[in-house]
Amino acid sequence: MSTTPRLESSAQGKSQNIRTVMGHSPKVREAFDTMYATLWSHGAAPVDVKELIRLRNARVTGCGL
Amino acid sequence: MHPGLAADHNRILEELWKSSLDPRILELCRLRTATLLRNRHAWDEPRSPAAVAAGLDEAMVQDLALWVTDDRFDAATKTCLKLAEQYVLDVHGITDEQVTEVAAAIGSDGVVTLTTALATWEISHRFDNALLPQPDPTIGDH
Repeated sequence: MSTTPRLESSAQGKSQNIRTVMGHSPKVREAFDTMYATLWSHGAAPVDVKELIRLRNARVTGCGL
Repeated sequence: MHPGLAADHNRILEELWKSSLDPRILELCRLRTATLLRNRHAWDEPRSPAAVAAGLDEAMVQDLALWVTDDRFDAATKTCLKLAEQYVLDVHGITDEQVTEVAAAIGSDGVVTLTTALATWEISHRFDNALLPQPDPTIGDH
């Protein structure tokens, strides 16, 4: 497991995060962002339930971010 | 899948196949992760048109399980398949050196594309496994 980003930021002067790293492939990032927004804004599951699932999933998969 | 999500999911796939990363590598990684996640549907679907157009060798597909020692798989392909396997089996086992090696082979944009592809296919494989009947739970020696 890495404790530091493994790719440089694609945005000069900005630190590495999922957006600036995914920015190396901008069209893929844009499509991913669109799906992520749909995930939160549509569907039958309440947003609070989605957030609990997100956090539980992060815990189970060991995502510290 | 929810229609809106399905459309967005398909758009990601379209962008992945249109990216600069060799679609033959993408298709081999897609099928390898399908095997490891035991999703038969991915094998029964038609091969990626982009990969086929790029010259995907069906004989290599059939021998995909042998990629480690098979010289028909070039260094870049092997590097990507190694990352694909590690991503599916134990993502925390990915090392800095491994990512550096993949980036040297396919560039930073390729790493982002491949990693996003692996995540997107994981959605597909697990969705199929969770909600669709599996025609054959054993993928054999693919």
